[in-house]
Amino acid sequence: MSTVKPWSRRRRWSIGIVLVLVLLVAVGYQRLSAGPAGETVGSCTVVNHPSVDDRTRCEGADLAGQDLRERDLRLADLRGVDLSGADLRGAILYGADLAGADLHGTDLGQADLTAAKLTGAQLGDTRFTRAIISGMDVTGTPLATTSQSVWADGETPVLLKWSSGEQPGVVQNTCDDREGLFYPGSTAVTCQITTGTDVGQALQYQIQMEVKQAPVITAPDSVTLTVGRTASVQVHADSPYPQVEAHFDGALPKGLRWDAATQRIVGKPTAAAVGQRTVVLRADNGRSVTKSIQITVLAG
Amino acid sequence: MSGSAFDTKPPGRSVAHASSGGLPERLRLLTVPGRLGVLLASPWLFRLTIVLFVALGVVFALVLHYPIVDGNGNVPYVGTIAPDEHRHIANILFYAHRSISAGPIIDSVPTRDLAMGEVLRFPSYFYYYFMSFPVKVMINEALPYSWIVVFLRLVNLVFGVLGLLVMRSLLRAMGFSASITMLSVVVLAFTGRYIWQSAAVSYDAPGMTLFLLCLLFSARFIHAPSPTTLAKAVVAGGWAIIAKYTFVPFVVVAIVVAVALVAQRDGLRGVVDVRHAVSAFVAGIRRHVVGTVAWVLAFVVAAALIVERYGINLVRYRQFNPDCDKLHTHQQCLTFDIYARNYAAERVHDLAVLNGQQQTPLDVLEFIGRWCTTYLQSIFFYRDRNSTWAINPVVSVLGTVVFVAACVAVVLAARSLLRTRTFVWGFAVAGVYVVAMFVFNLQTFLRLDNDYAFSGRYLLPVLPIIYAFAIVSAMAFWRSLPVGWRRVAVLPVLLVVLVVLVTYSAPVAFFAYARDPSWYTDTALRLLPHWLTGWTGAGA
Repeated sequence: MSTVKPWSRRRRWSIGIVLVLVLLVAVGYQRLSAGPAGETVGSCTVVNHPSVDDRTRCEGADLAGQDLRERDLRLADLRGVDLSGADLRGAILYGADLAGADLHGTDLGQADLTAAKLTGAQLGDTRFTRAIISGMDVTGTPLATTSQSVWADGETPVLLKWSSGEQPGVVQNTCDDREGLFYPGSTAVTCQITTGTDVGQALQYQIQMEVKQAPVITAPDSVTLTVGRTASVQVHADSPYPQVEAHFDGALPKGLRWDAATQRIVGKPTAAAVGQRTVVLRADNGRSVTKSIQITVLAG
Repeated sequence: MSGSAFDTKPPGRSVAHASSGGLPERLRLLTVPGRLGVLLASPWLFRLTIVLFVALGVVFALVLHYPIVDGNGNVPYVGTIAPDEHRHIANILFYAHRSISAGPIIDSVPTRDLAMGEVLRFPSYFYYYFMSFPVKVMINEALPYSWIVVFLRLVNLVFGVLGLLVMRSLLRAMGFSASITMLSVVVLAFTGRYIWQSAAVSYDAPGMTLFLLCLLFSARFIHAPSPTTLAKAVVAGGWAIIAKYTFVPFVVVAIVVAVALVAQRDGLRGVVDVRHAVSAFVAGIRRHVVGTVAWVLAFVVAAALIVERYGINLVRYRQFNPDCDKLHTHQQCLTFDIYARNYAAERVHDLAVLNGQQQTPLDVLEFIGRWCTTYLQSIFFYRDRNSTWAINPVVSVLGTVVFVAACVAVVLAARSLLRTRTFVWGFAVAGVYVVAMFVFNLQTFLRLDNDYAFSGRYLLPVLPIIYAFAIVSAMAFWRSLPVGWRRVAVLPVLLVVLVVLVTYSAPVAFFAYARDPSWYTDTALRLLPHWLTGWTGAGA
């Protein structure tokens, strides 16, 4: 005689329940081992085990003088945070946004600042001793020098000087005090800041040195054209740098047009154009230069 | 060879359970027939296998490059027998250099020593501590470093041999025939990873043997429940956990599933009968004083070690194996290469995501395929961390064919196999283990965008069960084929299986690919033929 087993005594169920229980225990263990979600420091909740989706967000918080040693602040949003006098030695700060943060007297020794954004951060006695700084953005901080752009008047190269500030722990800043001769053009200068010799302890960034020259126009003072005949008057409006855009102020005589690509006045003057007119060629590359050309059109 | 799945009576008091457990008629025929079956069931074949295993293990232990431990983490990976053998040796030497009175508990560690991993609360320290005693003697005798390495490797080889012995008992306890068991033992004994693990310095070999011992007692418990057997399973499981902490979930699964199966069959009284337990213990004391006391002692010591290490870790750090940065500073932990590697990978991954860079999209099928391929290759073949797989494509294809055929056979035979409790238990243990490894690797891939810890060696502890299931299933599938088909297919199938067995066997799989002098010791380079080692005779 067969008896019906209760569900709890059926093999499939018992194994299934055991495995589900094991799974629950495993998930519970995972959650337990993760620890608390966050910890409050000053006016900021520092997320434990941060990730791209769940990271510390403390924009504008006051963390002045706080002990943040070895804290995991990866990818944190710390824009405008007051970190003056804070101890961030050994902190993980890769990908953190510290734009506009007050870092006066902040100790960033051995901190990992890979690809951290320090744009416009206020530095002063900010210690970078053996910090990892690869890919860090220091634009607008005293550590970074800025690109330059000057106008040159002649053919001779221009002497440019540039410099940037030092901070404790920066063992080398190749752009702290430099000068060079630059011909007209845009030249990239690579600056390197190092805090040590280990991997990641060097930051390279580029600045642009622009030496610009006003355009020079080469064109006849006057030209004489005949109605119905094809005209082609070559002019030159050039500068080594930057590129020049040339055009005529006002209209050309009827039948004529300005070909900017070839820098020619082209076309066939019509009868309505007969007479004498003065036109103004304007060349502009940031600086504007003009040249008057007298055009005389004769009847055919 | 008899025509039964059980060539001899399975161990335990209740043979009736096995037969009434309903081993299907089809599976009763799952033995290797004829003279081959008799040969496979022969104890002499087992002895020969052990002898060959030991011989091969000794060769590997002697000829393979000794990892250099300089304490600064600058350890060359090329040519070491296990990917992290240097770390295990360094840990043993660390304990060996401490005084005996210092004991196993470490209060502080210099940062430079973190190159060998976290040591303050590392749960798998006992192997290091235990092995440090003979090493201490060797150091005092001023024996050369190479002697210490070879000695430690040979000790592990003993654990490897014990593993094979326990595996044989386990498969027999599960109800596999003597011939299937023997075939599985032979295949495991010549599986590259198993020999290399056994001939290398690491806690993996003793850990696996103890885990198999836990499985053996669990299987026996299902077959013939007794408080003594369950207690032995718990003690063996405890020691497996002490040897290697990653066994924690699998020991729990093995014992809990076994208990659940017994409870489902016999009710809770069948599992825990206090009166029976007490009387069994008293009887044990009377009849086998030494054995019983030894087991009790093993239990007490294991319990103390587990409470001290796992208990405190769990309470204080909420983890069995606390993250390094819970005990040391992040900067100090960076000294440990695995920590530094994972941290660097996380950083690259996070910054790429932050910058909107395209991550490797998860293609589930591709991931499963890659996972299977990598595991299959790394179970049988060897490479160091700096090289890529260079397996002969024909060998690779043949192996894949056999692997796929085995998978199909297991799926087809699954319903039949799952009719005995020990087979259900074996499926659950092996299944949970494989799934756990897969999930772990998938998590790593999603978190770090890297295939870290993709290695067949992690499957070794359940490989004996997988082998046995695969062989049984393959034979069931073979027998289900019409006679005409079998006549036609027998020769090509035998040929493919033979070629795979030879090309995937440890000596061929190793020497065919380890053609670089950096694999071998200087003595081995002088003694072994140059065509084998790839040594040209200049600057080893």
